[in-house]
Amino acid sequence: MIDYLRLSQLDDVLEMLWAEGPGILMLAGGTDILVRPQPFAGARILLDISRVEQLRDIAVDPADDCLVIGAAATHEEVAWHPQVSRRAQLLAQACRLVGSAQIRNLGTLGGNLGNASPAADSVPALACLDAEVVLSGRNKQRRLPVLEFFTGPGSSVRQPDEVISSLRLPRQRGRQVSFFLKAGQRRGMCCSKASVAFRARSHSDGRLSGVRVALGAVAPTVVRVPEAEQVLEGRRIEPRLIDEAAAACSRAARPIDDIRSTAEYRKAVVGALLTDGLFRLGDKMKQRRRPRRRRPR
Amino acid sequence: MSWLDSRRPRYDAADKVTGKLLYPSDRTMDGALWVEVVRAAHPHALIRNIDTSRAEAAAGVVRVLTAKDVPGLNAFGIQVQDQPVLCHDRVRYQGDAVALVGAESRRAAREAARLVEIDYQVLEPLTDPERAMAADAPALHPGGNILHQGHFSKGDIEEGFGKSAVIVEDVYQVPMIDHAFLETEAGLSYYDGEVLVVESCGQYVFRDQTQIARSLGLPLDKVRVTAPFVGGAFGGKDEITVQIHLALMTYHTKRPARMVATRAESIVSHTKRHAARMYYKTGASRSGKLLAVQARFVSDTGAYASLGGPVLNLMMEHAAGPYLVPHFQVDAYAVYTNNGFAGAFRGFGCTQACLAMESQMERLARALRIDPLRFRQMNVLHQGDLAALGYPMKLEVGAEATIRSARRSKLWRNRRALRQPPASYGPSRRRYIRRGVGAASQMQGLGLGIGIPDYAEVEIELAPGPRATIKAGTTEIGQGAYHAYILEAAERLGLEPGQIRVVGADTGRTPDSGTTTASRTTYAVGNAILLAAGRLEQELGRRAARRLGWPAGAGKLRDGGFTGSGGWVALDELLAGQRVSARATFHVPVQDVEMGDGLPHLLYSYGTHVALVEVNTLTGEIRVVRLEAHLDGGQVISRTGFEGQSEGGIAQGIGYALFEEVRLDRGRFVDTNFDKYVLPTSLDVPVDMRTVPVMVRDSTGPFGAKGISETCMVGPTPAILNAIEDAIGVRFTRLPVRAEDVLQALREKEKKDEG
Ligand SMILES: Cc1cc2nc3c(=O)[nH]c(=O)nc-3n(C[C@H](O)[C@H](O)[C@H](O)COP(=O)(O)OP(=O)(O)OC[C@H]3O[C@@H](n4cnc5c(N)ncnc54)[C@H](O)[C@@H]3O)c2cc1C
Repeated sequence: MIDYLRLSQLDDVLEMLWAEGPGILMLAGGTDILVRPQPFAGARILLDISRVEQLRDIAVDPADDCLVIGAAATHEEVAWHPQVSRRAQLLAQACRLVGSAQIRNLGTLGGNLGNASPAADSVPALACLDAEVVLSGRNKQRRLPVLEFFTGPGSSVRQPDEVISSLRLPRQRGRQVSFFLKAGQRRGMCCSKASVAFRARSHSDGRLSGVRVALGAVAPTVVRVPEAEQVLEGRRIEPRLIDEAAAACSRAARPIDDIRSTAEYRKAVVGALLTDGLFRLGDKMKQRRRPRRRRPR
Repeated sequence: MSWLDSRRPRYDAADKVTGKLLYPSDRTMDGALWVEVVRAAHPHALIRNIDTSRAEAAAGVVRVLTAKDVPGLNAFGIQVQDQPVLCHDRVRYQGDAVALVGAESRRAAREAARLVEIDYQVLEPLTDPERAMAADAPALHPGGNILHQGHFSKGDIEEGFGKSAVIVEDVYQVPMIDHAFLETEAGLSYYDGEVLVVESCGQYVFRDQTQIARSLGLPLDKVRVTAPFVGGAFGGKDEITVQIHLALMTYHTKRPARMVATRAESIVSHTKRHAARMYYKTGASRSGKLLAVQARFVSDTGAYASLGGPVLNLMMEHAAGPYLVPHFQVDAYAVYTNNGFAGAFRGFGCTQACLAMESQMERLARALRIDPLRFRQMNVLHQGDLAALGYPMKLEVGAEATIRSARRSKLWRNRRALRQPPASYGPSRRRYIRRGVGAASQMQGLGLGIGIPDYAEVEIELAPGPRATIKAGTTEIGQGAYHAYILEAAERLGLEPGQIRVVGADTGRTPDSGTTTASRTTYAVGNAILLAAGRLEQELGRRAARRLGWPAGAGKLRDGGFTGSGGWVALDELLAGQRVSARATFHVPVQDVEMGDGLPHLLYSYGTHVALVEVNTLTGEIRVVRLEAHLDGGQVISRTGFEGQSEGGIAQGIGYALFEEVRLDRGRFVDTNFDKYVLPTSLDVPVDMRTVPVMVRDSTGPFGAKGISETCMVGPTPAILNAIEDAIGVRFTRLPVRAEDVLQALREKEKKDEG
């Protein structure tokens, strides 16, 4: 048997975690927990944090101009929030591809991280956006780059008395271009067999800088691919570079065979997804650079 | 005003969406026991001992039943009773039932089920049907492992190939798939006085009644079975599921009993679509005449017979599609293995054969450089022609009309332009995104075929109001049949649909209208409604003579009244507060040649499907962009229902082509839920679906109607495979076609093209 407890104040949650830490299983949307074969294994208290308003806010912190997204915000809330669309289109795009409408209405960003699946769709996007995870405990708080949070499939550096309270996304300068693409067993309601997130600043001459590439579901955790990023850094998108960057992604992938796909396919498809995304982006950028002819009045 | 071909909301829609209508899984009763089935722990094993003592002693347990508690025949099966109600000496698949636990709660039943101790001697499972066919393979049943075989030849196959300018030969492989009906197997049983009632989820209450009575050793009139509304089946509930188990528990405890299968239990236990290996060789002349079709089928029927024989017969019957072929040979085997068990599933053997044959037709057309639909049209069967198996097509044949309709469609006419991805894809993407258009034609036997009793009896009662009640023994299984009956009756009785209701599927209250399968109900029950209406009119004629002094003679029901020798009189006036009813039985007409169980048919529906697909050659992902169905179901009764059937069929066809496969590992089910058994979602089904009715009226059908509920799912799969070949030049011969397969095939092709 397990006790169920729903709290609405963050302080109470932190107090509870401090007192009962290891026996607590936090529940946000429950979309990961409740489908496990033994949902509550090893826990004494199921602590529902989905109604903690302080964990659901999405707002810009005036102190450092970061976009702060509460960990209990749902994928649907994140996907359609105007500030997210303006400042972190890449994250909005990833959240829109999570599961189905039902899953997005329940599932949260914090849960996506807390579950620590290498296939979590928000994570490659967050990694490319240089996001930091904020972990809070009673009288303590720490921040770390999102990828440092994960230590392997299903495991993270979170201490039993900590909650993921928010994600902080720094403001990006200049014109941003990005994409998130995933390959699944079908087009909706599916986990990624592999995913790719990409972000860069685009300059007026078509060159890219600050390139970020991250891969999901092809290694024990989400990984960045510095080799692919360097290929594109300071360059324009062109077929030869796309091939090189895609090859770097395939090399960086350390996938496994499982029920959803094969390691071989995953290795190939991460490169393919990056290629597809870059070709699309390249075409779009070219179109934009081409001076538009004025229509005669 | 005519109600035919109308678009009206289904009469049961509001009750279904508001939850007012109760399904079998919703039904319960005070004091009902929960029944849990203890299923085989191994796909193939001998049972040495069953010890129920610990389970019996568990809290909340009322009764534990095993084979020795089956008072009658401990076996069931639609055709051959080879499946034990409860196994006592041997289990042959993972879903085999060994014991039943009846307890006060579901939880207690489940926990006790784990305490039933069964001592097995595990045997090696037989998993490859071609190996199971070998003479030295261990036999799963006394008669050996070949459940059924069929052989037929016409003309001289070697001569046919000798004359052929092009020959295509290949092996096609289709997987076992699940029906994925929404409501799992469920029911409630109880005693009503002396009569044991089973409210169940089956597709034919009268046959279920027989099977229950036989296993319980009861006379038929002591068993009553109902199943008016069921949450989907697609053939998967044609065979017995929960019925006998429920009845057995109530029989022994005298208490109501209830079952609702979990999804895992459902997937493991019920029938599946037959996996099959299909060896095909086809030849055509230079001018495009189909000369020879040779086919060999090995279908995996799993552990028990169910309808494996008739399914194989339909594969044979449809092996050459709706085409004229002078030289034809088919050899077919349905083989027992320990891979679950297979049976009826929408399409019933045509699905498999059509996939292979329509792939062959496409490849012949390509080899001959003839427009693939024109090639089909050049060879299509017409009324009076001899079908592949040598019997004449006596009734109207709509095959050509559906091909013409498809050829006229924009999708087909513009197919060259449509192969270009849209401009919005941008110049780079347009180089590696490929599109293609493919088609497939098929026919599908309607009704049970010759040799299997196929009739429908209905009763119509007219009451003051005026109101009419149709009593029919078939099940409303989600397909919309009752809605069709209402429209057919409204049309014939001169009433409004709102004045008519249906009482369905109850062996205690409705006549036997036959099975809810084989695309037959709108046709067979509809015809019976017309016959019964004729009898009503005779009776009303007599009444008019008696009451109104009209000259004797029949008349016509029309405009809410009766038109006879004395003019028109309102029904209410003629009925004068009384009810009038009439019964009639329609016998589905059959061929005069008999070639085996259900082989062949007299009636067929026809269809041609056209698919536009897109392949991302980088990722291997396939998307169906557009799908058109040109279907001949004769006169359409309900347009809403017609389109609903067609669109559902398209979705199911897409699932078969791209996603679905019941994976077994040494006879064990790998995926037992819909998280891993991949079904198409709404995003995988094109927004752009078009259903074109091609109404070639059938001279034997009610208002010229036939059924289309299977034809509509058979064609989409081969049309998609043909479209994929059009897009990327790769022929797939194995389902499902996944992105992984596409990428690998493209690599191999690249190597070949280079080398
Ligand atoms: C049908 C289906 C489809 C899915 N499709 C996708 C998909 O396409 N992409 C994808 O990425 N995921 C998918 N998922 C997985 C899941 O929906 C997501 O991971 C979701 O974000 C989980 O959020 P949740 O709030 O429901 O987590 P929960 O189930 O509530 O929790 C998950 C884990 O995180 C912990 N946790 C939750 N919140 C916090 C917190 N604030 N601090 C610390 N720990 C916390 C919990 O204790 C638990 O261990 C799918 C799931 C289902 C059932």
